[in-house]
Amino acid sequence: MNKTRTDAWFAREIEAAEASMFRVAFAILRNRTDVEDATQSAILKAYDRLGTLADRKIFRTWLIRILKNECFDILRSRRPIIALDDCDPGYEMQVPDLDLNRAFDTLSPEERLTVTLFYFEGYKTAEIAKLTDVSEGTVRSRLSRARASMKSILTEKEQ
Amino acid sequence: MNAFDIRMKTGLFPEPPASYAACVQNALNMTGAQIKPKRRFSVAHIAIAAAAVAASLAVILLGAALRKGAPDVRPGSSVGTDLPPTPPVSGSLPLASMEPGWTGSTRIFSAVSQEGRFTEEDTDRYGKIILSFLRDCGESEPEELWILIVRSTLGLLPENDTGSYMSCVLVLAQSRFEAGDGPDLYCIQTHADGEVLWGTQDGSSGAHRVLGTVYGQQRWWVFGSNSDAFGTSLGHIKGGYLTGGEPGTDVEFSAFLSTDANREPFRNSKYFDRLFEYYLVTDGMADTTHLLNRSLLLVTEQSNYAYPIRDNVPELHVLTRADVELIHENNNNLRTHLDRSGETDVFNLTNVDADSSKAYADAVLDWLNRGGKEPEELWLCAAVRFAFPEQYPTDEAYLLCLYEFDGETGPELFLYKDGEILWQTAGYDPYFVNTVYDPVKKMNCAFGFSAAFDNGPLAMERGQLTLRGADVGTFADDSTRFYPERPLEELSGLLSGSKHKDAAREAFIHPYSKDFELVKCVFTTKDGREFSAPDGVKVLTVKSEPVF
Repeated sequence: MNKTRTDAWFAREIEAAEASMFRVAFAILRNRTDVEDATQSAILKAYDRLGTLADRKIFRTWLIRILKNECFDILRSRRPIIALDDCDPGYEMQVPDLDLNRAFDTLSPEERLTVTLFYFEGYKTAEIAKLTDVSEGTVRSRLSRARASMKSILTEKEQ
Repeated sequence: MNAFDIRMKTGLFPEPPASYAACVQNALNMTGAQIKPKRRFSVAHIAIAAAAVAASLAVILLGAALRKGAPDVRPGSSVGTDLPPTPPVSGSLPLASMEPGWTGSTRIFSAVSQEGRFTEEDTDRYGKIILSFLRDCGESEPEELWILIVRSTLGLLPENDTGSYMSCVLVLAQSRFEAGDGPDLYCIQTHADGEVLWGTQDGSSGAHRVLGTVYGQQRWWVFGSNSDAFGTSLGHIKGGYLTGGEPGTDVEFSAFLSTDANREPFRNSKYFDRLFEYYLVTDGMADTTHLLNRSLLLVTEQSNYAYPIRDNVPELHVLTRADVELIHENNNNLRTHLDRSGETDVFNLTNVDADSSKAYADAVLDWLNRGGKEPEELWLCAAVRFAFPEQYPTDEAYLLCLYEFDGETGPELFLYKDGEILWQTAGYDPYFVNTVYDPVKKMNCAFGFSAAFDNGPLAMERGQLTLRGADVGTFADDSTRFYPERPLEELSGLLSGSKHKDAAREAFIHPYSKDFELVKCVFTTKDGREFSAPDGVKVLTVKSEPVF
């Protein structure tokens, strides 16, 4: 594939993955600015390393993996911060179920990522295991813990 | 799937907002793999963008001046035309005359550590990098520097079109706190010790809530502040949108310094009571025409305010590190003073005494000569010492001089101080009324020649300027009047020895506060006829170096 066609293909794939990228990054980072930073870095890295991708059929998974790594890099670079109400209202304002969203916030970044990949992106536990570099058992336990934790918070709130 | 699972799937995530799509597009633009926008632009749009870029380049190559000062084009400068305003040259004193003598005592205040990504150490470092840049630019040392917003960005080097990128931060910072000063935007390359790649040298009028737009790092940035002091009539800015483009392409943003917690880091600042709310938003699209039809909508607690991006907002000049070095080099070269032959015929058409007019003419000729120019004739058409009584006694004066008589070149305004010219306009066109922003005195100045003379013996009796006040939408009750410097009959006599005496017109200068904007100018001739601007109003830029 020549460069022009590759570029066009890459752009189409990125645009098709846009919603997934947003959900994954937002699940981990929960911060608008960081989500955009991570996304930009991931896209640029993916473009630079496209030649190393053996099978383009797994591009979406490969891209999400790069994005996930970018997100955790950002997360690691974060220092202790002072929480601010409405510091970054842009995305949160549109969240349809605020209670659920707040319960989701209490999960660890790894649990949030796992829940997102499972529920929203439709990955199977085995695929999530590969994508996140953990065992399938760990994925299942993260999902289970996350569900239990959120149910507990939501039930408490609704009572 | 049970009820909980369904709720998880439907209730957790919003759809990606438009600004996220813009972010993705921007990343694609950086790779060079973007799909071309579906939107079609007219040839006129493309021509406008090309003209703006060409004008920017021309301005940079002229060796734009550096010192902090408002952009020389005031908001609203595109009167009478659909074209974007010519990117202004920031006015300044010659660098050679500025020895900053920095002591390192600037206090750096920062609010951005609360955003999460950037720590106090980061912002302190960015602050020091900005201070170093300001010093290189010949600025005097600020007492305080406020770091207001820091955003990560990735961008191409201006000279790099190979598709590679680098990591940068955009820093919105404020270092001047006089009335009307605004924040500046700086782009800092984050590798190694970092350096400022470019910065806006702004200081634009606080009368406008949208302070500036700038194109840098392959995208447009809009930034500014709420012009009303914190917590006053407008209410806090909750956020805003860049809007008016295609459906679904709105870019949203949030204001900063809009909570008490955000104000706290500035508690010990000398300027704490001057806090404003700031915002920074990027369009995210590389296409420079994308902002043409857009407007900025600020959402406050009480109402919404919409501002057209192109019509009323100054497009700021971006100064790169290379520009700074070039200007330093130019200033060094200018220290080589050329001798002049002294053969210029000077005609004093003003009311000032002979000694003053000689000093003024010498200074202007010296200035022109430093740029390698020695005119055949110099007309000292008008001279006005500063209109503000508290500034007396000073030696400062605006001088309106004509030294080229090709029929296309108009009079130029010079700022005289202590025997030297600090700047001159570079307008060239013989427009009816010109205005210029004086970056040294921080005032506007209207000046020009009466067109009446061209039409016969219609000597001006008086003129009248109407100014729009600092509050947008209100108009000053009283118009400001001005008068011709000399009656026409006298001018003819004074110019009897000139080769170009037929070019005589009546001249005027009128300085006024930068908080006002000239909206109308009317001349009344002795036979009662009126001639009005602003059709002929043209906002001129300032050159801080002699004209080559």
